[in-house]
Amino acid sequence: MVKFYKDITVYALLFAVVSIPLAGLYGAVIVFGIFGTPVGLLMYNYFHKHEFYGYYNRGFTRRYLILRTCLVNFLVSPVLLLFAFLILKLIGLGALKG
Amino acid sequence: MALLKVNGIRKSFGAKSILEIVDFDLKTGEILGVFGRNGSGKSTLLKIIFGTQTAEGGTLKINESHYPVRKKIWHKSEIIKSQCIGYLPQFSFLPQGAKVWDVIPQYLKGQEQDLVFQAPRMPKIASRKVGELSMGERRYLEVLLIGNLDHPFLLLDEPFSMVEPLFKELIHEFLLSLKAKKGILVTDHYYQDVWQLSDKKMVLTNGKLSLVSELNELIEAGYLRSIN
Repeated sequence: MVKFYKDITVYALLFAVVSIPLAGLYGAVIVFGIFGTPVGLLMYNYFHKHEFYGYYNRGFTRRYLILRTCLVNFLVSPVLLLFAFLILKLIGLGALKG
Repeated sequence: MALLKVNGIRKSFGAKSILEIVDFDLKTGEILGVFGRNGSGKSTLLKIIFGTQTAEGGTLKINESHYPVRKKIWHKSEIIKSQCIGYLPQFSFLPQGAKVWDVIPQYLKGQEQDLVFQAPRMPKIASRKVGELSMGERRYLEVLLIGNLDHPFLLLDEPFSMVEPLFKELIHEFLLSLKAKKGILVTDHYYQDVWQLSDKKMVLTNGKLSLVSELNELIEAGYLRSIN
């Protein structure tokens, strides 16, 4: 279950990072929270589809895995938003320069 | 003793009917071998029983519990949740980039892990990545992982395909050791391995599953041309 979450979230984070130039730091966090998990699932389905059978054998259904991952990432998003706020604040204060 | 009862499973893809009359019983302590040509519906049947594919009709019962096989999305995963059936698909399902010693704890906890770590030939491959294993080593690892889970029934789709004789022998021995506590359904085109292993044999032709007791019947069913 943890591995599934990590596999999906790596793709979700990559997608959010790629969106920074277009959406900005706050936007990227929102992209992660809303679109990151579905994009991660699409990528997982493309690259690791067969691995679902390992989870099925351990009693985890696809629906359970997806809902848990969506829920965790939805809850993680406000924390990331707070980090983004702090980073931008520090940049604004010049603390991250030189 | 646990009993798996499959009755009247039907499945078609478009106009083509794949499974028409499929009935069988499998109890713990028994190995059932299923033979059939490519495209005859063996893998489809296994996926329906495991709950990853739907059927148009039929019933699946384990002891006193009924599991729906009909085409309703909310029914699809009940058999998976029950953890009554383990399924070895014909393709590899392990993460190719992970090391064997990292994969085993994902499937088995505590001392149960030793059942795989201490199995013959396993100590040699435990430090390697799954993607670096030979076909035989990988299949053997997959059979060990699924076989050591706590399911009373096990469905094996091509456990011997492309596997070298040494690992085939180990898989044979392992499956025979599991027989005391599990009911096993095995299908593979390496028919001699399946024939040798199974207590009960069935052949799937034109959507119908029928019992066979002599190798000659596989010729009559159009599965074999001759017996080597």
